[in-house]
Amino acid sequence: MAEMQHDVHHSGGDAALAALKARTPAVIAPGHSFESVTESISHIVLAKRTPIGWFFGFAIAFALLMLLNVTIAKLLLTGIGIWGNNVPVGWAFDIINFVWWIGIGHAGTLISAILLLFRQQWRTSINRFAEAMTLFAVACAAMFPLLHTGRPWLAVYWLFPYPNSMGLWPQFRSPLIWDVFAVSTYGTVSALFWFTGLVPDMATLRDRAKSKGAKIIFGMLSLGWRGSARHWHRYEMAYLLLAGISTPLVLSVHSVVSFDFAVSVLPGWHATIFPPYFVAGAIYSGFAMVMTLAIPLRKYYQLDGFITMRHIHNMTKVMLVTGMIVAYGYANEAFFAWYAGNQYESYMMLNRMTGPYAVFYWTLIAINAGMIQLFWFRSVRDNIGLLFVLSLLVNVGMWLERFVIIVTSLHRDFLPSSWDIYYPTRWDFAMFAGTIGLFLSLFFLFVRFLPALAIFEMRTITPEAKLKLEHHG
Amino acid sequence: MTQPSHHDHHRPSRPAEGAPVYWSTLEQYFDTPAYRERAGEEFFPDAKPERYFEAEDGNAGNGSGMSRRGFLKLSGFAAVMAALQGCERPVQKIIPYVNAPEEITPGVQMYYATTCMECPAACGAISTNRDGRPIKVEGNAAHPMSRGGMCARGQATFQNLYNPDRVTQPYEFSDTASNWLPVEWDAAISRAASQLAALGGKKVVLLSPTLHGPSHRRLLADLKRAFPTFEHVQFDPLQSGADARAAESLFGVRALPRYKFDKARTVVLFGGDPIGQGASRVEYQHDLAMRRKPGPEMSRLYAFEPVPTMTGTYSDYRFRVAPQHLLTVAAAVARAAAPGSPVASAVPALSLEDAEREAGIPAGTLAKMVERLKADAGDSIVYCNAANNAGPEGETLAALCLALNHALGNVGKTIDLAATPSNQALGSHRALAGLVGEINSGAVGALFLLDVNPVYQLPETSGIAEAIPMVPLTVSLSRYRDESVFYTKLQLPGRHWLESWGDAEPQAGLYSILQPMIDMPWQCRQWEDTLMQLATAAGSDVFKREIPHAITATDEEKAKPPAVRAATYHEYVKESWADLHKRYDVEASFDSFWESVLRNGFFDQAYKRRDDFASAQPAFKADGLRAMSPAAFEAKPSDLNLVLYASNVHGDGDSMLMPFLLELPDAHTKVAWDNYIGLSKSKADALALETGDWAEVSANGGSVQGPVWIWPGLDDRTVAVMLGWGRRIAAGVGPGYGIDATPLVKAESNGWSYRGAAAKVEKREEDTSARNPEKGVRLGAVNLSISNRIAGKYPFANVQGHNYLEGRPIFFETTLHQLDTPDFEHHIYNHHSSNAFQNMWGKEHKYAGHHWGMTIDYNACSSCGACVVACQAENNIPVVGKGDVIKGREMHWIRIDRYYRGDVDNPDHAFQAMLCQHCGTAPCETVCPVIATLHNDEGLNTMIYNRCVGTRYCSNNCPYKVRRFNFLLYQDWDTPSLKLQRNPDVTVRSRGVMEKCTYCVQRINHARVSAKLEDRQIRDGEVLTACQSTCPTDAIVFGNLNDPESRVSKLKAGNRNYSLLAELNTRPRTTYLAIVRNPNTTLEPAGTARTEGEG
Repeated sequence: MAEMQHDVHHSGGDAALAALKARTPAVIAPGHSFESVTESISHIVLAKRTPIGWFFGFAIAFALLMLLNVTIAKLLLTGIGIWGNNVPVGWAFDIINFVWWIGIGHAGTLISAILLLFRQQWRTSINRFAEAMTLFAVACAAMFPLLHTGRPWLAVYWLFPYPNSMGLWPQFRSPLIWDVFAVSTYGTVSALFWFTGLVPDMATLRDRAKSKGAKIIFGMLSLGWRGSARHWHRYEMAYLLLAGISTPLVLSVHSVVSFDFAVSVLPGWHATIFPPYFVAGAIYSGFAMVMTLAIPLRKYYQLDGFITMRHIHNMTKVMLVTGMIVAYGYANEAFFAWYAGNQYESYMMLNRMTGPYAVFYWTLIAINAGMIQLFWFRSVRDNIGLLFVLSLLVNVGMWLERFVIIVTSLHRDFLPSSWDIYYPTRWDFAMFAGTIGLFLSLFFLFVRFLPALAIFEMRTITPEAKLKLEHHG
Repeated sequence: MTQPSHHDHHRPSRPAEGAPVYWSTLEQYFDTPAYRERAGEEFFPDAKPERYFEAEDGNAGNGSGMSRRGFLKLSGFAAVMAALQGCERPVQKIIPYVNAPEEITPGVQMYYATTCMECPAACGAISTNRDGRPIKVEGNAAHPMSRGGMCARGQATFQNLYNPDRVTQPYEFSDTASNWLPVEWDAAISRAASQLAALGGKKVVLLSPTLHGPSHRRLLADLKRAFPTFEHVQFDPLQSGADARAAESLFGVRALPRYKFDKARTVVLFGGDPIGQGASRVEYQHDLAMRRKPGPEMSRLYAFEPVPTMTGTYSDYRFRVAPQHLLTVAAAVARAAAPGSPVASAVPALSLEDAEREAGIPAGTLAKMVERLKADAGDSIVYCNAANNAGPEGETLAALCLALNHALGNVGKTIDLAATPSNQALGSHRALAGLVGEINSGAVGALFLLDVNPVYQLPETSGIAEAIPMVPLTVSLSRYRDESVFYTKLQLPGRHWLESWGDAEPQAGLYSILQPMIDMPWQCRQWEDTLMQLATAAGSDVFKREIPHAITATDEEKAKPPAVRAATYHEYVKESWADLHKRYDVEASFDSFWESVLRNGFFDQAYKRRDDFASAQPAFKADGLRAMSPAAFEAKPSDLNLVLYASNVHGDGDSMLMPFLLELPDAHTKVAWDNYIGLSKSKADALALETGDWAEVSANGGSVQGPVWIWPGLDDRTVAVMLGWGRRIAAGVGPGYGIDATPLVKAESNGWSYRGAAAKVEKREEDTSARNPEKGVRLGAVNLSISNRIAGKYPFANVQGHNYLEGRPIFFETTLHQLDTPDFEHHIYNHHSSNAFQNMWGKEHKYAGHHWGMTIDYNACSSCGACVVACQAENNIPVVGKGDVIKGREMHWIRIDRYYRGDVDNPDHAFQAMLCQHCGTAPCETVCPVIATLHNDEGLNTMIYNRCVGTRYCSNNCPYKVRRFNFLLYQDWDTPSLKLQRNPDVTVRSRGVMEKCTYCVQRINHARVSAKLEDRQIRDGEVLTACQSTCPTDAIVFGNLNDPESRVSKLKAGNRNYSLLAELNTRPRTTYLAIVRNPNTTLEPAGTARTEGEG
């Protein structure tokens, strides 16, 4: 962490810089000390009383989670005919949701790994829950590659390469197999990264816990952390290494997911721009989700001293940049549909714009290309309520993007005779709502039982840390 | 009842007075003290294991009562019992097949020749039997009519044979119980026989469709001997008898003309549809296609029709005309084509121009057509459809066309009336109308209904429903509960033709045999046996046969007269064939003759006359033209005219028992599971109706409500409804689908006509509560509720939502005169064949041994759908039901795409059979994560069903969308009779599995085995895929591409061959032969100008 603290050190400088700094909110509100940071974060976890609002929110999330259970039971007993999928639309909500969730996960890894490597200290306030969000989003996403298959009880192990007497291996040329590796690697690394980061905080909680149960549990989870210099040294090294490992994953996972489409022959899927365009979209939607979670979190747990307007602004700016990349992707698709002179491609584009699902296409354009222009304005970036709504809309837009890519490309492909239309059923919606329930349930539990912000890292950005550093330096 | 006291709680409380009391032991019954002591204990003392162990061990010192030794014993016992559980439960007793029939080898197919009796056309069939059960029928390649082809109905016949809804034993209607009660055969026969014996001169009537076998003729004559008042009434609902009557009045022979379309260079159709509705469809389809081979002898087809028919859309020229204008055009053509002939002078003076103007045909067309017709005099056929029009117009049209054919010299050259005329539809409406009259006058004492369902087939005004119950003895010989059965009193269920002996003579001199393939474990008797037994039981000697004395009989026993019984129909058929043997003076002995007949399936006594029949034709009687009605020519179309038509698949409604056929989309509209009120776009616009609107059509004094379908190609002044739907009672499957059009049928002097003028169509509010009940489809289908996709519209199961090619290079056509130009060849070769695209792997992969491939010839394909059903039957493909078809989940491995081109009201039709293309570089293969689909070393793109996990990626990536996914468990795993239907060589797929065409790999493997056994290569043509085998027009050719001499290689080398979506470089092995139209080079009317390519 020493490297990061240098940033804080460079705070002198000329007047222009000072003016800029005056306009830029701090990454932590003034007046925080080590003790206040530790207390306000660990209090959420260690407090005996759970806020009534938490129960209210958790009840809704849990009800949706039960809906997911019912849907999965129905799905396994009846078959995926309960969904609206058909031929030609072999994939619909199942893969849309998969791509959507996996995309959301990307922000967490980006914040934890890439911003760490780029020494963006503002990441400190949001990285913990962004990582948790990643993990939960990956859990939601990972469900679909399995459950979208006709026979998940076989898919669960046939998709993995395991040595068997028949000498049968998966098809390594299939993007779905790449998906399996990409997603499982991603899930594993994210979990490791998240847990490694939690260890020092677990020790803090262990030390502060009053109840015996909490002491034991946090004691075990802290893996014997005593805060010795050697511990810190190893921790830093491990964390850095994991960040190094995660960084390519940010780019690779969604690139691989985009190969599910790009590798096919289908007009609307078969596009070389897909990998960067998907990665940008993933970060874009991921930041939107972080924002969606951060805004209520800082409000209800009075964390606005930690998740300051600086964070909000930065996230908005990231969304603006990645959103523009995504919008460029749309323009690029349309351009090539025309420029390539391939009638199937051009029809695909025309069908997106004017076909039965045109309303979704134009909605997504309105959101992902139009609405995000609002992020240029500081007044918008300062308006927390509006930002919350906009971040939700971004997620809607990104969901629609996947709908448009998947369903509108499939429903009208080469032979007009096989063209058909797709309608979701209530089970499609139930499954989607159910994964939101799973995600939110996990998130509610996380906020209640684990430190939602990294305590020890937050301590490093307090003025106290700066003083100590100067004193020692 | 008293409250049990607390100290007494072990004792079961006494139940209330009058409640049933159960007891298990005498002790309990007498409530002895010993019982009361034990009653509360779970185990009786001597059943306690620890006590047993204690007794043996003696020192159970641990206080638990369980010793170490006892524990070991007990656990050993438990282990053994657990191991025993591994043995299969429930125990299945196997009866070894000790006395196996000599010829049956388990797992080896047997082929038997028989005759398909799904319709009176009676095509020769080959039944494939496995382990004693027929699993597939195919056309008999040697049979002069079928030549290997079979129609969709024939292919679906197993759903009639193995239908779990068949009536499996006799039933009698009990007046006392007012219900149908099962009755034993003997009792039923003797009761009916006693009633028959007491008829006292009243008539005994058998009402059936056309029966034409030699044994049937003999049986009918013998029944007449047994019951002097016996009468046979032949009734084919869709055959008014007008054609036979025309032949009678013009030629003095009551016969159905036999058309030789393979001899006709020009064919003109006046509403006629020989492929779809002709008496001998498979034969006509084949013959017609034979003349469509590109070359100077290629035929030219002209169709004038109100409703798109299969032959019409197959034609070079198709003109929409109002039904009343058929006669107008025919008359003008007759005058112009055969000036001076009797027919020309018998029709009103109408010029071709007048007819063109009146009927809305582009000017100048008819003159050119007449020119060609004249040039091809003697090589042409004028064909009309009078069969479903018993009115004066139908009779007149039939006479006019036959007379015109005579005037052109076609009778004797392309049309045979006397040498070997057709017997395939000799029924007439008149006879049935007469029967109703006779019943009403009380003259009929007994009525047998055989394979007819007049209560459904005829409108209420026919009075048949009121008439039947007036007959004292009414017997249904039907295999099902249908509408008519409920008007009879006794049902003696008959057998399916695959369970029966019999014979047929579809065309004079062509004798065909039926032999039973299976004896279903049901109490059904074939109707011939039933009637012979009835006659014998009623005291007749006609069918009596003596039972010879046993060899072991004593002299005393031998002195008595032998016992008697009724002849079996097997014996009877054999006797009839002994007669044939004698009559035709066959050289071989009867035994070898009989054996050869059983082996070949038929005896073509008329083979010499089949193609050379000119001398046998009767003289033309010009007087007969007086039968033409002058008023019929005067009839003018009203604003909207009704046409009720039958499809080649659904006929008069039997198809409602066969889900294969219900799910087979209509050839033109591509709608399955429904019929509809068809209107052209312009007409529908004028009436402010849209597809899916609910409307009422009224004509001929009746009205029917149903959904509207906008049907391109339909005449603007015509409203069309398909017959055969809307069954009220049709076993388990059919009721509730479609609308019953019979209230619109018009009663005529000669029967019924399926036409009407001054029809009205009006929008109505649909009573959606009465919408399709979605009854359980038992024959292999799972139902989901139908969601009404567009609010307020009727949900149609339309498998093809989009009808236009969108300018895509999918379907190629050319004209005869452009075919051999270098331009065409260049275009096809450079743009639409795999050769034009570079292979990114450098060189083509070489397949050692065989390399299978297929071609489909658009020129031959007439879109009949036989291949679709054949594939379903061969490959155990389930029916998914209407709900899932609506959702887009039909399972057909082969489908026929239909594209329109041109004007929405009068488009050209293009048909394209789509099945797995078995791509050389298949997009499906690389995306499957578990390698469930891959190439084999013979070039087949194969599916490994048990490896498939169902990601559906392969289907998404298939540009042809020919892969099918089991979204739900569509197969019926439980119904026993349906298990017999399945092909044991093909996996029965479960849910969650992708499937698709395999090029019938099981057939390839069979051929491979037999080739190997004979130590030779698989011969060209030895492997016939199911679709190829059934195709009446031979449009599909399959074979080895490594053999340059194979038929398929030669066809692929031809200049018409192209690959679909070749630009994707999928290198398909299924390729298409572009269609060649044969328009008049000097005449290309609007909408028919056909040029090369669509792109």
